[in-house]
Order: sequence, then structure tokens, then C-alpha cells
Amino acid sequence: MRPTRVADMDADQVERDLAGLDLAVTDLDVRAPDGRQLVGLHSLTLAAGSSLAIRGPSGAGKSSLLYALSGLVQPRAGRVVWGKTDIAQLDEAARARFRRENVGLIFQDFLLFEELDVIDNASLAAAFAPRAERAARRRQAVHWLDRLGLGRAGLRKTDSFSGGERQRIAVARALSGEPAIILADEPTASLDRASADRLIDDLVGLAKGAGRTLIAVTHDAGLAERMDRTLTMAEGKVVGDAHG
Amino acid sequence: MDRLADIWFGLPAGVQDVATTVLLLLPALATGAIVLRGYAPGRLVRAMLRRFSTANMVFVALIAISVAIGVGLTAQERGLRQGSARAAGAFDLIIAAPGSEITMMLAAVYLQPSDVPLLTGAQYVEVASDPDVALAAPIAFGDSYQGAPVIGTTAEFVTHLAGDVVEGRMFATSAEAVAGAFAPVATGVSFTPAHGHGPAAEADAHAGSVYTVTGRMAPTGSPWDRAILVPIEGVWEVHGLANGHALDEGDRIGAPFDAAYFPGTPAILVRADALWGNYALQSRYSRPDMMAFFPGAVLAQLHGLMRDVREAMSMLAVVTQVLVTVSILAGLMILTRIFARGLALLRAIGATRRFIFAVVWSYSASLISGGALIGLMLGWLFAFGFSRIVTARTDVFVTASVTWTEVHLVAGFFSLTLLLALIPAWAATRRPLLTDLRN
Repeated sequence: MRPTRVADMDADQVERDLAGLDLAVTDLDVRAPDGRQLVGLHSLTLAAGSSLAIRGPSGAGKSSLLYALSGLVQPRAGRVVWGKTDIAQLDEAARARFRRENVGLIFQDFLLFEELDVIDNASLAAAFAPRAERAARRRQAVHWLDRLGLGRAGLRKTDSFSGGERQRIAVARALSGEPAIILADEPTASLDRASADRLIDDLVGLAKGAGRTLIAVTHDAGLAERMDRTLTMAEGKVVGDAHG
Repeated sequence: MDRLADIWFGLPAGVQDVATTVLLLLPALATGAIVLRGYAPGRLVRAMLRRFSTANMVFVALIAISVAIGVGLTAQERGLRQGSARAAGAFDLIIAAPGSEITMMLAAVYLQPSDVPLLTGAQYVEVASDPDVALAAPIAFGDSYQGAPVIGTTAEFVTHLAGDVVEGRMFATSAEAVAGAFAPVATGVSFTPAHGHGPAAEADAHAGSVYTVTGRMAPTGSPWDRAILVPIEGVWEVHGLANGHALDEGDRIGAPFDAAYFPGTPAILVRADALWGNYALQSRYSRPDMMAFFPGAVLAQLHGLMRDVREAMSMLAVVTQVLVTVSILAGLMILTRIFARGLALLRAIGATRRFIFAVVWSYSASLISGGALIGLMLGWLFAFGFSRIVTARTDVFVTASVTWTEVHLVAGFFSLTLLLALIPAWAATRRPLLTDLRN
């Protein structure tokens, strides 16, 4: 799937092209534990390196679709093929490995460990990475923090940061594994306008600059406008698909 | 198997203790090595410990207190047993009028006030003149001064009990006294004894009778350290009795005593030169008009009778540990739920269940390790403090210290709880990822 492992890279190689994981979703059926359908998606394709915004009212199934694309949710039926890998067919351990190696996740409320410093948060995955990869993961985290304007904040605890800064730490965490895919769930929802705008610039700029696929669930028109394509959902179905 | 046993019993005691400790710790160490293999959860575990640090500290304190109770109880029980045995060490053989050996032992060795029948002068002389007897000291008790018992005996017995006086000199007349190591009188002080003990003591019963303290004994670790020792002649004289010697002997004190002038003694503290001599004497004077017993043997019987209490204490310690272990388990389950979202994040970004398992187990192990170590130290402090109280109250010098027995107890507890900590670690891996992530 990935041509190069993180351990083999250094901070100077971060913006190389990670293309190769086109997305093809067919007949996706995601249901709640009570059987209610959350997502019913006949077909969705997305070229590697492009960006997609998923919009729609609350309860439309946006986050459920995002989690299904990440392998956090096991669909009842359908295929979620990244490159040549149908993650819907993988067991949980294999899906975790897929995420570890290919996916960077960003959440609305950052989900940082308040008691860890900035670098430890950004390089969180180093804790469970193979020993040989840990140093490289930390180097990558430091690199991305630097790119996101947090290079001097490395050893500070995260509880002293603003929401925008925290979300940028979360972005650095998502990028530290050099993932081909970045999945973001309402990344600007907890931020003020100025912070949201800066984050959008950083996120979209870094993703596109490195040829990463970026999929974001968002209510933020500013973010959606910067994406290559916007999918609109309602009641689990795609009701709009706008390009450009 | 026999060969292994031979090797084991051939090892020095210290090596056996260390080996036992290692064996008890082995399950925990092996579990740790397996669980943590390939992972470095240290930073995350430290973050979890800092998060809700108050709750974590309470948890550690609970573990520490339970360990301390177990350690303290076992150390204290052993200290009490050893202290009481040590206090009786100088009393080879006691000969007394027939009655309760335990009552007599408590009266003669531990100086507990009691009413006991007396041996006559003829009986005393018979014992004292026995060729196997090296020392036959009569004792007399019943008086006190400032709460300290005033005991009448002979200078030979004082020397036998505590060696030469460490301050001043031995009493030389019936109006002189030697203070026990911690008796509330100073050398050179004169005092009038009260009749009886405690609140019922009659302070003026012996008005006009005065003892002067001439010296102080070395510590013996027994209630005799709080006593004031006087010539037995002095006790008899204070009570208006003959002083054990014919009038023409003047003011002489000490053996030999004249049976005709011997008012009686509740007990004779006897020592033979040879060990077998003590057994011969015990056999010879165990008869209808006298009883002879070894205080050490009576104490051993008493300890035997107390075994049930000891076992109950041990059982209490174990039950406490079990209850706390169960509480630890429940507590860890709750604490793990508190961290559920963070753990879900780890799984979301690709951590395996085994890593989550390692993080939660390491977190539990940190709490348990801290609690066990602090508990060991608290247990020692508890035993030390309680020993001081027991020593102050009974005058039996009790030294309760933490030994390998307690280290083994803690090591066993440590291993058991670390094995049980696998349960919450496992439970943490089974939690619903998405639910935790969204909570």
C-alpha cells in the first residue's frame, strides 16, 4: 500500500507524493446497533490526492460515513476499497493496522492528552510503533509542529493552548505518521472564525501540498469551498455532489 | 524431588529468603515482560497518573493502608511473642506454692499484681540448700512507688537479671534500693513505698519506712525495668515481719536465710549451673506441696493457646488483603472507564488492543507498586509505633520489625494483584470504540 515506511523517511522527505490510494465505495450500508440505517451509499469514488467535504444537517450520517471510510465502523454490507484494500473485509486488527499506516484522524474536540507535552501528543502513535520507527515518528511530529507554527511549544503542556493551537497539534498528530489519507470530523467546529480560517489554510495547504487525500465532515462553508468536491447528505443518503 | 529439597534446605536462610521473594515476584515480572514486550507506554501511563491525580493517590493510599495493616499485624504479633519470650529469658525455673503456673508466671516474671500462696521458710531452705541449685532468690511483692512495683529479692538475683548496676552501686542494707533501668526514681532519692498498687495503693501504710536508691540496673527488656528492687529483708521489715535472719546476725542481707525467721515468699527464682540441673530441679520440686515450672515452657504453652488468636489475626490480614484486592479490581475498572475516551483515541489512530492492554495494565501496576511499597514502609512505621505503645503499657520490650516474612507477604500480594490487573486491562480492550470516542 505505502511505498515507504515512516522509519525510512526523514523530515526533509515529508512532502513527497503519497498518491496511490484511490477510494471506491460501493453499496455501503452502515447501521446503528438497533438496526437503523445510518448510511446507505450506492457508489462513491475519489481519486487519491483529492479532497472531499461532506456536509449535511445533524444526523445525516456524515460522521458515520467518515468512520466507515476509516474502518472505525464495520459496515453491515458494501465495499470500502482504498487502493486495492477493501477495509470492510478486514478484521479489527487489520483495520487498526490500516489506519496506523495510512490514515490520519482529526476530531472536532481535538482529543489531546492534557498531561502530555505538545511533542508527545503529536507523536502519540510512536508509543505503539515498532521500536525502529519511534524516533522517526517523533522527528516527523516535530517537523509538522514546526510547519504549523508550534515549533517552539514542544515541551509545553497542551492545556495552556488556545483551541486553534490545540487543533493544530491534532493536525500535527494526524500528519506525523505521514498518512496518505486524512479524515477530519468537524475540524473547525470548536474554533473561532480566525482560528478556523488559519486551520483551514494549514490543513488544506499541507494535504494538497503533499498529495494526500483529505476528507472532512464539516458545516464550515469556508472549509468546504477549499475542497475539490462537496458531498451533501441527508438521512444517510447522498443528496448532492458538487465538484470544483 | 528429594534432591531439590536437599539443595533448598542446604541453602543459607538469607539465600532462601531472597529466592522466595524472587519466586513470589516472578509471576508479576513475567507478566510485565510479556505484556510490555515491544511497547513503550511510559509517557501515556505517566499522563494517566497525573490525570485525576487525587483519585490515583486515594487509590494508592487504600492499597498502602491494606498492605500496612497486613505487614503491621504480622510484625506486631511476632514482636510481641519474641518480646514476651525475651522478658522471661532470665527466669530459668520458678518454684512456688501449688496453684496456677500462668498466674505465678505473670506475677513473678511480668510483675502483674496477684494474690498467691506463700512458700514457707523450710521449703525455701530445702530448695536453697539443694546441691544442684546455684541461685535461689526469694521474691516479695505488693508495694509500689509512683506506679512502679517495689520488689524484694537478693542482690545475686539482681546481678543475674541485669548484670552489674550501670549507675551507683548495689543495695547493701535493707533500707537501700536499686532502680530498674526505667524506674521513675533517681539515684540518691529516698522514698516511702505505698502498700498495694494503682489507685487502691495506701500511700501512708508504710509511713516511716524509707528506701534510698543507691544505683540503677541495666535494661533487661522486661517489666523489671520499671520496678524498684530492694532487699527482701526490707520488704519484710516494712511489713513488720521477721527479716529472714536471726537477731544476732545484725543487719546482714541476702542468703542464706534462716527458716525460723523466714516470713514466706510467693516464689523462688531458681537457677542451676547446668541445663540438666534445671530439669532435675523441676522434676524434684514438682510435688504436692510445691510446684516447679519453666516460665519459658509456660509461655510456649500460652503462645500455643494463643495460636488461634494469631491465626485469626493472620486470617484478618489475609481477608483485608483479599477485600482490598477486590476493591482494587473494581476501582481499576472504574478508573479505566474514566480513561475510555483517550484509550478509544489510541485505538482510532491505530493502536492494537494489545497496546491498550499494556497501557491499562501498566497504569494499574504503577498504582499497585506504589501502594505496596508505601504500605511496606507504613507497616513498618505502624509496627514500630505500636511496639512503643505496647512496651510503654506492659514494660515488655517489644521490637516489631519488618522481616522477610512481611516482604514475602507484600511480594505475594503484589504478584496476585498484578495478575488480577489483567482483568481490567482485558476489559478496557473490549469496550465499544466508537461509543467511547463519541462520549
